[in-house]
Amino acid sequence: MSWTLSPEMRDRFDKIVARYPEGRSQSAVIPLLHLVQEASGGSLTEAQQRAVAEYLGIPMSKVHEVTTFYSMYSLKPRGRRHLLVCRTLPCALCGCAAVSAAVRERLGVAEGEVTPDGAFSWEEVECLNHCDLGPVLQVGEEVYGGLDAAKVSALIETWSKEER
Amino acid sequence: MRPSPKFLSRNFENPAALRLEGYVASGGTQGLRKALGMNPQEIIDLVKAANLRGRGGAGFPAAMKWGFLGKTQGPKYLCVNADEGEPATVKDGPLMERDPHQLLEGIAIACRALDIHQAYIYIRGEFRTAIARVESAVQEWYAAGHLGKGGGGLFGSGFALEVAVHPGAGAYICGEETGLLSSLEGKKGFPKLKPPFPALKGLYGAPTIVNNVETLSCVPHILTLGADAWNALGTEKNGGTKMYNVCGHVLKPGCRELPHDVTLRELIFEVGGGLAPGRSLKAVVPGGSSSPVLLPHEIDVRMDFDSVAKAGSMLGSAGVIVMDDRTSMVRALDNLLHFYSHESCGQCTPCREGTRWLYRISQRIVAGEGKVGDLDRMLDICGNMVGNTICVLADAAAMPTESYIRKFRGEFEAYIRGGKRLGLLDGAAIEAVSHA
Amino acid sequence: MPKLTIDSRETNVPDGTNLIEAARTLGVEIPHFCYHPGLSVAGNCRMCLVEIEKVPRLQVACNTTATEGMVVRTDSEKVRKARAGVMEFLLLNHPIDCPICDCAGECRLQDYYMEHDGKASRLEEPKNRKAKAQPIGPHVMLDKERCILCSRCVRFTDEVTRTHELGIFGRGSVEEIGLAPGTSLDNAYSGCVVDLCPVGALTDRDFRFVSRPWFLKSTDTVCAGCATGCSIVLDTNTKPYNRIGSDRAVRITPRLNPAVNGHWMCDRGRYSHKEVDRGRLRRAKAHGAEVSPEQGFASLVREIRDAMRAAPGRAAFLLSPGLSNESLWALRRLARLLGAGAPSGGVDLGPRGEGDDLLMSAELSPNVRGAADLGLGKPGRDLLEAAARGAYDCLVVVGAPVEEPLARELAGKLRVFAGFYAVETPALEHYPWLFPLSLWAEEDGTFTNAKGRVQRLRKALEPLAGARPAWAWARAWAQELGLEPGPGSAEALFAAMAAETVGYAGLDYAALGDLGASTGAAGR
Repeated sequence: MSWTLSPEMRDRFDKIVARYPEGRSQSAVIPLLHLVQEASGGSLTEAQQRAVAEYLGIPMSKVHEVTTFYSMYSLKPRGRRHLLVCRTLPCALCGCAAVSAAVRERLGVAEGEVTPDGAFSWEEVECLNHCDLGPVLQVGEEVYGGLDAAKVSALIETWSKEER
Repeated sequence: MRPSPKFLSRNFENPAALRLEGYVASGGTQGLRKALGMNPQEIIDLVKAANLRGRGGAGFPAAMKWGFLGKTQGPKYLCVNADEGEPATVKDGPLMERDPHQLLEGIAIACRALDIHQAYIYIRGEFRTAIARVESAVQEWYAAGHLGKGGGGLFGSGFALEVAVHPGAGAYICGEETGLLSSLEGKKGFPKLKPPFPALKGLYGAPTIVNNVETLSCVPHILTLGADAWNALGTEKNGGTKMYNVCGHVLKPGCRELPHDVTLRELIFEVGGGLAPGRSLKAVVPGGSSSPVLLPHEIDVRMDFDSVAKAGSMLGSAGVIVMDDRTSMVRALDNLLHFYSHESCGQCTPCREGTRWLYRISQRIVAGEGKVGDLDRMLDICGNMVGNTICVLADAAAMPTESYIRKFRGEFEAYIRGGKRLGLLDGAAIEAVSHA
Repeated sequence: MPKLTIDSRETNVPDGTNLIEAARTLGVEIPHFCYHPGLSVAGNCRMCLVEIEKVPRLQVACNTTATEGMVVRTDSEKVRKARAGVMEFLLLNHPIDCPICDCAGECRLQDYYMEHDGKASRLEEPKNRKAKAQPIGPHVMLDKERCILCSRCVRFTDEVTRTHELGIFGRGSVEEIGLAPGTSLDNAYSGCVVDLCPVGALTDRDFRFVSRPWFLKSTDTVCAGCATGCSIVLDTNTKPYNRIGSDRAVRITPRLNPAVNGHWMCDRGRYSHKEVDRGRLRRAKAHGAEVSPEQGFASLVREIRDAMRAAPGRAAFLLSPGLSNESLWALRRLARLLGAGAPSGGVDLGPRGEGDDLLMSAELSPNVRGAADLGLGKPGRDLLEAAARGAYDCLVVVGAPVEEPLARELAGKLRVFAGFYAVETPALEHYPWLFPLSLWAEEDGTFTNAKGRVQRLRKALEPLAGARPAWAWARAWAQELGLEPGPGSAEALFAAMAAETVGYAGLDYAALGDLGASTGAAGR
């Protein structure tokens, strides 16, 4: 399967590359991959990585190194809402185990898997640095703190309604 | 505890300050205007006299770092380290979300002092709101002609400056200054071999200064208050106020600006609201998860870089993790070892293999299959990691390992001998922890 | 030229020398994996940590430049402990595949373990598991578990071939060397990554399970695959019970020669060892019938002698740029002795192939330049056409390729149409006279590469039964006729040749050593 860069996306790419000095367009690889991933339902295909590599004039190996190194990129499908549950010490001290358990139970899928309707996926992540609000869950731009099983349930209920 | 003046956080409840005109109305940009009338060396001398310590974690004097910047006819760069990732650290996120113009003002002053005309703000990718708000602030400065070409430069001074926001994509190692630079260059966040140091050879091989968000956010206040007033807010060699985050087993977790001489006891019991009823303090980490743990009798320490170092730990990123008597230190260490092994970039042998090995041993202990010899082995592994790696992520994993095992040796041994889970990591305890 | 002290001994080194190279000047080998002088510095294995006075932490020798007055210890307690620590970390997840790993016997992990470690593993948890035995290109096999992530192979495909097939993907201790999606490691130098790999992660598919290295004899010689003349090591089998089949020559690897090939060689040359044992000419013919080489040769010499008595000057020699300088010179001498015309070196007859701007020459013969320097530049095509037109009664072809239809035609027209070859081809069916030659692996001698560098071949194997170097046939020819046979060794031949050849006058055979020397002759 191939993937082509739309003129509109190319325009956005050009603007980002312009932030970096002449000859340093490789710097743009991270923001470009974010753009593509967001526009494609939250994950990246091989063809998309190749398109970014070609646009920047860098080898595919360098793009693939980036997508496999950084946690935010996914090379497997994600749900329309991808839940990030923080598991690092400050949140753990405040009860993130209950949050993970509630997410797992309410969504009915394991970490890294997508619900059959494509609506949700989740994973435990390392410190999101909202430790003043622990335990914390992030979806997209929204950060939810002070969670417990009940609050998690309520959130998922709300989102499920929005899905329908 | 002294009253808490608000400089860095003065706009935290003032959403109007998100717009440049609101920021100016709140008193912002005075520092920059003053700096534009000074010569560059004067600015550096002022920051030196103000004893501004780097607030990314190392506490290195900021003006000394600035002094290392290499001379060149070619480009130089300022990279802002907004990759806040050290567990328990909450300060750069709020500073960017609630007062982005303050950061920009600090960046502008620093660039003016160092004759730098291009700055990149490297914001961790998960900080979506911070990215959006800083980006918006940057756009306002461009629209007003303070940034970019053809607008008369910073506040009509003719000093040309370009600032761009650059997102990360999820890697703690990009908070290491050369890991950040590698990432900015479009590669994996592999820290670079040092020497050469970034001040001589950094971004794209050019002289580069990497400064933390909070460090730069202090700069406008140093300009407006002057060195003496700034120093008076702190302690000797540690000038100014400081952002502290208190979290874990406290009733009022949060990030607050306080004078630099607040004590750890005050942070826990006054600012942080103390512990839950019936609970007692067991352990506290003063400066982010990588800092050595302190015991209840060690908390009368002033939270400045030098005092905490003398007490055998580090102020680091001032992320205070409070652990009460419900906590299993074995499980706590295990949690952190998962973090370090997950975040190790893998570039160099001791960290790549050592962090994973430490975690594996810890997992075996937690599962009830530990042996007493495991503890000394973990300490030995730490000894083979520290000092032999490209960057200090290895040290960051070793410090909690060494301090938890040394200070809670009895608990670890009891856990191992007991062969079953004693105590839990989070709020709901199922068994009391007993110490032999 | 800073002067520094390493392990209490002083040395002077050029500006910019790193401590690994500086220590080498004193005969001290600082152990290392990821450092390679032909690649950029990575500094990731941490094996080369050394102690430097006044510096609190150990420093990697590969990335530390020697400075005036620096005092270095490579053998202190602190260094030994660090090294043992690094070895332990490297071996932690490394599969102990030695019994089935081709790298055993030439493996840095093994060698350094014996020198710097020697302890049992303390790992009580399962090792990381990764994919094994994955062919990643026509010549290279990858075992991801064995990889120590030194990144040499990645740097090679990035910096030398610039083909970027390889990368290190993932993060932390589960990261892996691998192919970029959609690629195959099929560049023209892919075999070099096997040389580079300090462990058995990258192995040669051609050499897979062929032999243990300690059964092999290594000979420093020169590749005969093209006019570049890369310095190589030819490995030959010494044990008849070694399960290799019938091949004597089993492996070629490059040898460092800063003046010719640096550290590398191409795959075309690397796998040319197969030609040493396969498809060789192992028979002789006289008057169209198979005979023993000695009998047939005596017959040939008499036949040509008679033909030249009857019609003087109507004999010609067509030589090949695949022959050594010694053979070319000896045959030119013979032609003169016999009263034949000046031979052609056949430099125009090829074979030709792919060339690039790295090491590969489009000229697939190793001694085109030598033939030209010896005055044998007359086109072989002209000589063949003249022969077909009836200009000669006798044509002796030594190694040059002649197309089958032409060979058939010449066999019909000429009184004597003789061929001396190392390798069988279909055209040889038409030669009434045929004799076996040895080839480069079976001879001492010299080639002159395209840039005018004279390099020594070293004999690694005995010629096949009945075969000889071309110069030995020439010598025997003269002897058969009672003429002065000429020098009888490659060294003596070289001396005689050098004395009378422009540009070779100052060269001494022994002094050519392992890396050769430049001629003074301008290229033609």
